[in-house]
Amino acid sequence: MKIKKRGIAGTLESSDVMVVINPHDSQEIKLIVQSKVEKQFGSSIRKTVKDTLEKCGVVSAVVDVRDQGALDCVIKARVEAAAYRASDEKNVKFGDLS
Amino acid sequence: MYQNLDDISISIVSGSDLERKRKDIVDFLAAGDLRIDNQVTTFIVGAFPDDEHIVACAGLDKNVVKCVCVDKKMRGSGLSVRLGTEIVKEGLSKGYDDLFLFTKYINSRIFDGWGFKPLVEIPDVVSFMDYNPRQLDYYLDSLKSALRAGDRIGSIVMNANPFTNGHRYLVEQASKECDWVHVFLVREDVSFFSYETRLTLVREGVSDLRNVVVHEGSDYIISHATFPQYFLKKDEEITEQASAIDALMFRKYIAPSLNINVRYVGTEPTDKTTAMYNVVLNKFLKDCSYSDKKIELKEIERVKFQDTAVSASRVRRLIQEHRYREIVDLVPKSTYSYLNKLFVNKKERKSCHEN
Amino acid sequence: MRLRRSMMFIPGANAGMLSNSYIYKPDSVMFDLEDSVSLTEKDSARFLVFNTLKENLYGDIETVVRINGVETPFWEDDLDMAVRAGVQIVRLPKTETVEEVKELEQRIEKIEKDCGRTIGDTKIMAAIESACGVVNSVAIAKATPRMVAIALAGFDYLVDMQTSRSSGSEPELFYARAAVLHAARAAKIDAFDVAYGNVNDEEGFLREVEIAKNLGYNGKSLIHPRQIELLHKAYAPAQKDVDHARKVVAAAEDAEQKGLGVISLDGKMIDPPVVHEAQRVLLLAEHS
Repeated sequence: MKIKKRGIAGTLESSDVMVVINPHDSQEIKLIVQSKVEKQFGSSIRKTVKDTLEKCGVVSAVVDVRDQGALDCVIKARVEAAAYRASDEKNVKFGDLS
Repeated sequence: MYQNLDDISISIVSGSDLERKRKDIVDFLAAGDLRIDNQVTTFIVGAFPDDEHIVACAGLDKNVVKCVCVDKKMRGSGLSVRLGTEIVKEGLSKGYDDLFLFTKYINSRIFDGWGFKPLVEIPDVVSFMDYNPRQLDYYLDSLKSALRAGDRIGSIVMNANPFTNGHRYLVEQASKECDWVHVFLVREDVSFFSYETRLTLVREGVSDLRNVVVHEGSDYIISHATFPQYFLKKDEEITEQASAIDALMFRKYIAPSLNINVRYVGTEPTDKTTAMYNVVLNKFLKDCSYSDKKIELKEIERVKFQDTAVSASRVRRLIQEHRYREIVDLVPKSTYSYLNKLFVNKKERKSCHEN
Repeated sequence: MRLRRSMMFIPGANAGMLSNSYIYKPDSVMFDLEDSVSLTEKDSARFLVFNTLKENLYGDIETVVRINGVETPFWEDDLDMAVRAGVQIVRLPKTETVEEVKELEQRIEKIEKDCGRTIGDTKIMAAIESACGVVNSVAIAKATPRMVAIALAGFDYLVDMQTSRSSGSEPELFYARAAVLHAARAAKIDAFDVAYGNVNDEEGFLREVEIAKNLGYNGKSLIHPRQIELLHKAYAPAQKDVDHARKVVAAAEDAEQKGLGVISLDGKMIDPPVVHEAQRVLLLAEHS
């Protein structure tokens, strides 16, 4: 999946996460995570974000994650929504996402 | 009729919608002791859908969040965070990489919940906050590539609209006194000459001075965000706060990145904004209550031509009055040759055509 | 046997509510993709609900997804997500005809085949929200073996009927409540009463619960967690009914052990429906 423009999903509300995905000029994922539970869950959040992007087939992007203590499933959902929005892809393949 | 928080609908109001709702917004802000800012082009408005009764609003003037107000009865309800989410999304969707806001010092905690962090603060007075501090890091990193060693590292921030002999004289004086001089060009594209043109003319105008480095400006140095009043009409009253923030930004972030220890400005006999700015700059670059290293401010007497200070505004006035030949004595060759191409030749071509 | 007293409504775009609402222990949870989700968040709500279902946060709580109506451009994507995520029940809003249910059923079957889910595993609940839906409710309730419940939704129905909500005995809902419940019972499926919108009015809510319970509704659609406990308490059986039910069930078990074809208690013969009702009372008592 190619990131063509900025894609935003999520909110700043508690238990949610705001994800902003931008196009990147090199073939890598540049990931910036801010979380109120950074110390405890920072690395697990990073892993969830990276795994989700990989499942979506995103290989090049700058990803900004503002976490307000979201569950894993919420992080996945927000990353997926932001990625699809950033790619202009309309046909979501839910079968491939699980 | 009962009212439920979830019923509040949050909408984006701009263009003709904003004109239609302006009075309601003005009234709502007035009830919270706030005034509408006419620079705001987009509002996020929270209201009950039945009667459109406003309970929250936040405005966006380019990348600066303004006019934030939540109904007293609704505070602490989660409405503020919904409002913050929408204003941040709106700003980011418009393509801005960072968003800014000024707030009373005591209110900065509210905006912490929106993901904003203070960049600089005047304790008990004002906080200047931004959403994405990484953007400042990127800018400072780009500056650091031009880091130079020396005992006296000078700096000048200019708009150069366009670059005149006045600017040239200021840079020359600094160049003589310092090991290195860093020149920053105001990024904001609201001047008579475009940013790209101004940058080209500054670069050409100082290209012979070996110890001068020209830097691109950014949101973090004399910008719409750090110093909105710089770009307003000259007769507007200027507050100390507004220019203090810009001075503190320079002292805390820009100067340390390049080991700058002195800032040069021209004396300002006519322009009230700039004169006031120089006074405040002097105060906040040195104020002992801030831990960041102090910066010396050095004022250089303006260079004159025929008893009048050479200034960019004088050049622009001559352009408007089509007195192109008189400009030649006020600007460096590089600037003149550009203006010549732009106005004089065009005019001559035009008159040929008319003949 | 499954209790369906409380069907808790959760806006599908609200991450916080999706993450936390299982703690209130409703019997069923309904993730909404329809009215509570703005047009700009229809896509993101699908991702949220999909991942919430996949995570199996809700454990034993029955999961329902309310899709957008078949007249919208959203329902097919909604359905695709919900069936693939393994939701137990799909709730179809504004159901008016058997044809709509058939169309939904065919579509579900296609997705089940495609994703390898057992055919027939995804159940359907029809929401009745108009005069036409009420009149057709018997046929709708019997339209497919997938139909496990029908729910009356009051807001649109009352607009359609050119009236509005009153307080007190609510005559405006008399016919619809009775008709939808009869349709459900005739089809041997469950029935949910309307949601009560004013979450701050406990008294009004309980008045409605009494009406629904006395009519015979299995439960209500709920829009706020605080309504769950109130509802469950109201549906809790009286101690004498529990005592009696224990005796009935004990007698039935006793008869089964002894291989007797007839169940008797205190010298009176007991019919199978009475045993069934007694089991329901015990289940209610257990979960109250």
